[in-house]
Amino acid sequence: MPRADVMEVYNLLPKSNCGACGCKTCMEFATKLVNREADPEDCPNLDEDSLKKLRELLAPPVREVTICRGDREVVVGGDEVLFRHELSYFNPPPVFIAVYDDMEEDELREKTERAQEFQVERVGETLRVDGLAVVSRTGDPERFAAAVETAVEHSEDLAIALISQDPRVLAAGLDAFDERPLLYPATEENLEDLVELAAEHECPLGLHATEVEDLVELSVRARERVEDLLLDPGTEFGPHDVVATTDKLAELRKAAVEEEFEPLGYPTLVTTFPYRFLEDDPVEAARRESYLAAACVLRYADALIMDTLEPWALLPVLTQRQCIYTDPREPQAVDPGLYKIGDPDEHSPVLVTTNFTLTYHCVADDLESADVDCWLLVIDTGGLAVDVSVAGGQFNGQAVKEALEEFNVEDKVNHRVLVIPGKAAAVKGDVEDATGWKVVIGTQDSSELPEFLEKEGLLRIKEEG
Amino acid sequence: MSERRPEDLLRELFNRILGEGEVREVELRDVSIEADELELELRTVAQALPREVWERLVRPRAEAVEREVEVPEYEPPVEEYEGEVAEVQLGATRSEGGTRDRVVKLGGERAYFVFEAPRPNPPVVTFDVFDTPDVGIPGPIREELGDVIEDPVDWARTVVKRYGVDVITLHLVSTSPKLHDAPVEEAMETLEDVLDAVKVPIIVGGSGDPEKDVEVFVKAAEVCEGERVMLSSINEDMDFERVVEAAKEHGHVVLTFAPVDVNMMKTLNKRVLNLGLSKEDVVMDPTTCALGYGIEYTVDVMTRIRLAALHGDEYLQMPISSGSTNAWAAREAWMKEESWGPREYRGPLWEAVTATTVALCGADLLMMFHPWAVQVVQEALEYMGREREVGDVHVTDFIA
Ligand code: B12
Ligand code: SF4
Repeated sequence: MPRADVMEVYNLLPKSNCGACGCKTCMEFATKLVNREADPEDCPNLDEDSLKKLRELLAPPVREVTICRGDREVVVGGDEVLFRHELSYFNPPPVFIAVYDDMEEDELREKTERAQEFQVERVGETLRVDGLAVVSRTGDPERFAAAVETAVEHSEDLAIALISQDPRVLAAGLDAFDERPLLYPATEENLEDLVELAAEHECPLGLHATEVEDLVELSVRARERVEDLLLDPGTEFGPHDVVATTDKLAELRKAAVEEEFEPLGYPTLVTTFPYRFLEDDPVEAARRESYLAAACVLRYADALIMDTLEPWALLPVLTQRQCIYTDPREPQAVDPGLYKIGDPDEHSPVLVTTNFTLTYHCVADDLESADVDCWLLVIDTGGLAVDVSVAGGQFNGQAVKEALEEFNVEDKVNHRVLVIPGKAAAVKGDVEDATGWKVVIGTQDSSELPEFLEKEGLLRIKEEG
Repeated sequence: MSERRPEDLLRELFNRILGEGEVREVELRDVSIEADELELELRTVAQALPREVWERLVRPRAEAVEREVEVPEYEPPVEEYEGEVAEVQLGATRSEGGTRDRVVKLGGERAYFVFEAPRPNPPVVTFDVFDTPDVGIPGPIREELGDVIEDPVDWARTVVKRYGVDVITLHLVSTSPKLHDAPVEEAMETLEDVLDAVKVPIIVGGSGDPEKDVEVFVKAAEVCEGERVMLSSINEDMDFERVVEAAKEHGHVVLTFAPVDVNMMKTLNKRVLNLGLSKEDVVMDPTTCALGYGIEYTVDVMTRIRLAALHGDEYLQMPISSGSTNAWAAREAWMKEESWGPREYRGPLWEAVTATTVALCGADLLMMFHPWAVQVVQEALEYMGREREVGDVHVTDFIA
């Protein structure tokens, strides 16, 4: 459940129903605010005092923390529910990639550049890593400063975390980069010095303790001086890593959200990079990191520090993040329409699919990567996949007919042949009756579609009808 | 301790850098130094400062700001739930009328998170075995398992021995009218051979054909008399009453299946319980969508089901089963794609992450089939049955 009460929010609004915020009534705006679909600033008629009260009332139990400034800025935290179905999760956890001050400069530059350039396309989105964590291994301030300099110089928009237990080392790092990097780890031993540094430089500060009670104490002491904290309850390593780590994170989050226990109302930080040093085999190290990080993305990690840049190891983590952070209140849909794939003409085939984001992108990617020229007719199934919408009745003859008409498909091709998904075989007759077009049942999976079109001679359709 | 004045700090600093005694004459009082500038100075020299100097110059300021703060009492947010999940036993030993060497128990949870109460029975992995290799077994799994997939008995025996799995699921897919349409009797022979070959509990899987499956399950219930197998699975599209009757008569467990929908799951369970099975005889499968292929729907549905059970909804108080092998439906798991890296690594991880995600959301039984994934998941999830363990390796060991 959203935390703030709609009536309470409403009572702080002007109640003039002027409509300037884009809502018809102040009540509608209040509902949007509570659901985090609008910002208090969208109402131009609020005085300072009400604005301030509103912000306080709407502040999520997990503080929203900004790391870095400008192009490198990332925002973490800001959640207000334990389970995503109760509202949605916000601010997908950034992945910081670790670089180390004992690396040779070339090596460090090369890893930095790889992190900057890393990208994987998935379902129409570009998945990237978000930051660099410069880790002190030598304890030498000069080397650390040099490493920070190299990392900053060879990256453009990656957030920066400075990682050392020694305040001198961090101070040296701040000399090289002072745009609100994350400082970490503040522990029992160095808390005062790190709080001082963070306060002075207005940096977010990551706290580390391995027991939740100790973390509470660190937080209570740190929050006297520093507003923006991250909490690391001690990532566990070894066979118990996934269960113990996610369980600590769950404890923190439940205390913050359900008990509103303020010292734990901060975003969490998970570190998997130590596996690089714990496993001799780099493949095994990357696997363990991937497995642990992906589980923590489900369970309340708000920022991650990883070592691996292997796409196969990052893909599960970034995919998990992409899925878990979708807004359950919105269908994942693309606009219905007639999409051009390659360079189609009047002889090119017309393929029918649904407007579920995942479905559309699977099909479009498969056709594009096989250099097929065709028309892709995306019908409106309310954002549902092929078999789901066949089962639910949204994928039917009428829907295809309407799409054919709306997008003037008859004018684009001089044949009357439609290829439908194999999983829509059940509606073949219905589509034929409703549209009068000839219907060919395609493959079950769109990855086999290009070969199918070739084999069936459907790449160039000459005859009419 | 009082806050030091910037002048004093700077003097000390100069003293240190230039050597005691030599800068006593430097008069700073008339020079105007902005605090900002001073800090800037301090910072640029910080990296050159020896630790003792840091201790003397900066440390005291840090300590000066340390105030006595009161740490509020912290109680872990452990919730008392009114409901609990039923405990279901798979398999029966000789003394119980079967021939299994061991049995497994599923469910029994009294809380959602492990810190609230460890799971009485941590999630169990069951290894998928097919009675014919002519189904879409992904390449990486064929490679990993080798020739054993030609023979279900060999397959079952090998995975129990090699990977120490606790349960075997024998999918009698050859009975599918769309595949080999093998007669029920033939499938029963395979089933009996597997029961003889391995002594762990068995799950009997159908082919997904709503008519044939009823025949397969009714017969299997008879053939497996006393063994307490699980019949996997029944749904609203079939004449499941007959299967439920057979399970009741011969003492087996049924798996109810509904496609990603809490209400459909509940309705089916209700109908099954009304036919006379008890919660201890039912496991449910609310559908596992793979990582990247709708896992978020499964996360929500399983979470809602488990919370409903803990809040007292009787019709959802069964253990949850997950077809985690669905992970291989995701192309990221099996497709050759250079930019994603080797698929030998991707597929098993995809399965392990899918299984672990659903287990964290409540799943008690995980149907899996890549050996690496099976082992990693078994080893990791066993800890859901224990009090939290804090190890002695910490991130701070790797940071200077
Ligand atoms: C996630 C899911 C849901 C989600 C929907 C998410 C969404 N946005 O669609 C929710 C929970 C809402 C849901 C609801 C239902 N679901 Co459902 N759901 C699934 C699930 C698990 C995955 C679907 C999916 O995402 N597939 C991935 C996409 C990419 O696949 P796709 O769209 O089919 O596209 C592929 C192919 O079709 C092909 N392709 C696509 N376009 C084209 C075009 C051409 C020309 C060609 C040749 C090929 C091609 O290539 C694509 C890539 O492989 C499936 C089970 C499964 N398949 O694993 C069940 C499943 C589809 N659901 C099922 C059912 C019964 C339902 C419900 C009716 C039940 C209910 N819960 O009430 C409702 C229907 C809702 C409605 N329509 O009103 C059944 C359908 C059974 C059947 N075939 O009759 C399934 C198969 C589960 C089952 N085994 O029972 N579901
Ligand atoms: S702009 Fe403000 S006053 Fe006008 S309707 Fe919106 S909330 Fe009400």
